Amino acid sequence: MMSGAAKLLLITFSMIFTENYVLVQFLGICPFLGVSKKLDSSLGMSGAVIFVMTLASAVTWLVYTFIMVPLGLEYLDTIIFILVIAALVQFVEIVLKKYMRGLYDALGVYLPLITTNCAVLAVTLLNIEENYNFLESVVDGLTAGVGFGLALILFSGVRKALERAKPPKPFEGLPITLIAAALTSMTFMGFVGIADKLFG
Amino acid sequence: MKSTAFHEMVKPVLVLTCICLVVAALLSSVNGMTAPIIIENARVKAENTRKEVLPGAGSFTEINCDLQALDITGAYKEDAGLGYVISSAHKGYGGQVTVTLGISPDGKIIGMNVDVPSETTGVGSKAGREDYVARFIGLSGDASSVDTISGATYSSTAVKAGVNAALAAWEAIH
Amino acid sequence: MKEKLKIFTNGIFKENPVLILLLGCCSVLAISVTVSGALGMGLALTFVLVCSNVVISLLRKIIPDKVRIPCFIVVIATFVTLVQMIVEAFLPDLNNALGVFLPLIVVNCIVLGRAEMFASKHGVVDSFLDGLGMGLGYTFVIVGIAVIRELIGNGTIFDQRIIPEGYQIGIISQTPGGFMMFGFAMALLIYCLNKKGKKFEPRIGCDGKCGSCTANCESRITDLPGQDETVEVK
Repeated sequence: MMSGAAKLLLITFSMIFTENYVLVQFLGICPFLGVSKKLDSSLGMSGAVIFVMTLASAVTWLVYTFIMVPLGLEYLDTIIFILVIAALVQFVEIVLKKYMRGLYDALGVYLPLITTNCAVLAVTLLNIEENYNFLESVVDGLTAGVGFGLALILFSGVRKALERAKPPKPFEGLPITLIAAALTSMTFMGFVGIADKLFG
Repeated sequence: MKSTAFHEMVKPVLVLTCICLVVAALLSSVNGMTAPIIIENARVKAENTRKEVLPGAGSFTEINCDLQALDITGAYKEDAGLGYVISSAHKGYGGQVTVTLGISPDGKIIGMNVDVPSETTGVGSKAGREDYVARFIGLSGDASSVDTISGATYSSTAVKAGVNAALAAWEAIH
Repeated sequence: MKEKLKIFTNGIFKENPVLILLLGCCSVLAISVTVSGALGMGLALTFVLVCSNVVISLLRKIIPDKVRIPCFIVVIATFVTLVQMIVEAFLPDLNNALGVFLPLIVVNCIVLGRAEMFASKHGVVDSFLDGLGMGLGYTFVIVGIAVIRELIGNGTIFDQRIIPEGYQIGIISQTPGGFMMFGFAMALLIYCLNKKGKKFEPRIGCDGKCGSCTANCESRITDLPGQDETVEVK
């Protein structure tokens, strides 16, 4: 039996590197390609995603364990989770606006965009599928967000360099960005070997 | 005035509530139909896996034991005395890996099945996977003699942990 | 009749949800590993899209504007859950292949986007045709990419071996291959359109406003400047 701390470490490493949501699992591609053009917007989006993913993981786990399981409503997880996330994002926006102006100014514009970010819904559904306990779910959400942020910030650097590149005409713009994303994701495949050595 | 208040405040809530109620009723009735089939599917799948790892097996009896303490997810004894089937799940860096072993009465691995939950990402060579699994066949005691492989789509460390747990559990219950 | 046909074909060609509107890219990239999985995903999405379009179109006069989006999400999530249950019960293999991307149809922008932009403003028949066209447009693209990825990456089509074992390029069916193939498909489309004298600048996710699937800022095909030929683009 794996000890608790080792499991948390494994989750952290997997979510940031070997199972990176964007570059390995294709979750949240739209904000990844849409926001990564500039570094500051990448930072803002990453912050908002980390925040909402962590909160959403915690809240959906509690809702699932203490409301849905006792009532036998497990089969409604998709529908309930998306509503919980939508409500949560609205709530966070209101609270931040009122009490934490600084944070709101940094993340505010990105919050409403997160409801339909598939990475957030995915993390809540996968927490349940993996049978994580509360702490593991929260760590899973947090580190999935960190992995998303890492990919986004790294890629904004790649795109900066890409601006000066001169690809063939039809490749200009999005196509060459996708090819660059392919190469970035290839580098993340290298982490699999590291994971084997680290946790072997 | 009254009607605008109704339209502004009450109607939205009413409509949303109605939609939710209809939806809940619809889904619960469909769930009532599909849930037994899903459970039956899972049972058949588990049964097939057991028969696959223990060729020629007929029926199985579940062994009552402390699964948590033995670090396994299920233990079965073949009714005709062909052997045991023990499964164990461990988390690797690529998700939960479930290993199911068919173990002969003298403690050798006869068959083995590795199940990873999602195969949407990273396909990897199926042949390589079968090749890797084949290295465990015939082993007994523990799996330390099999090297971990790199570049697999699942953690070979988790596979070995599963095999070791299942073999140790066999020692305890057979 | 011609009008109706146009609504239907719009989603398949001129406003193809994946290639032109660039919606729902996650599932296209992730599921296009095997042809059978891609076909299943395409049909599942088409089913959800057609049903949600029809229901939302029917309810469009009843649903108050204020709670419009939550209502749409509930309706869409219902059909997604229905599909989930049916697929899990009757097609367990497909369920394994699609994994978490099956429930994620809920947040697929194509569905919510069509609900907001089309179904909430048009009649039932038109909405049905729009949903069918968009769904099939999505299916064609995902299956097309899957054919290439499965053939090159695994040497098979529908699990039938075409290229002998040992000659496949595995990376094409892994994550980098997904990005790469989509990039090539995009470049090919731009090349063909440029040849025909049209300009197409794909912009994904409205510079990050993916959450507002309905934001009216998708990329469109326009004529290259200085060309006389006019193509009606709505």
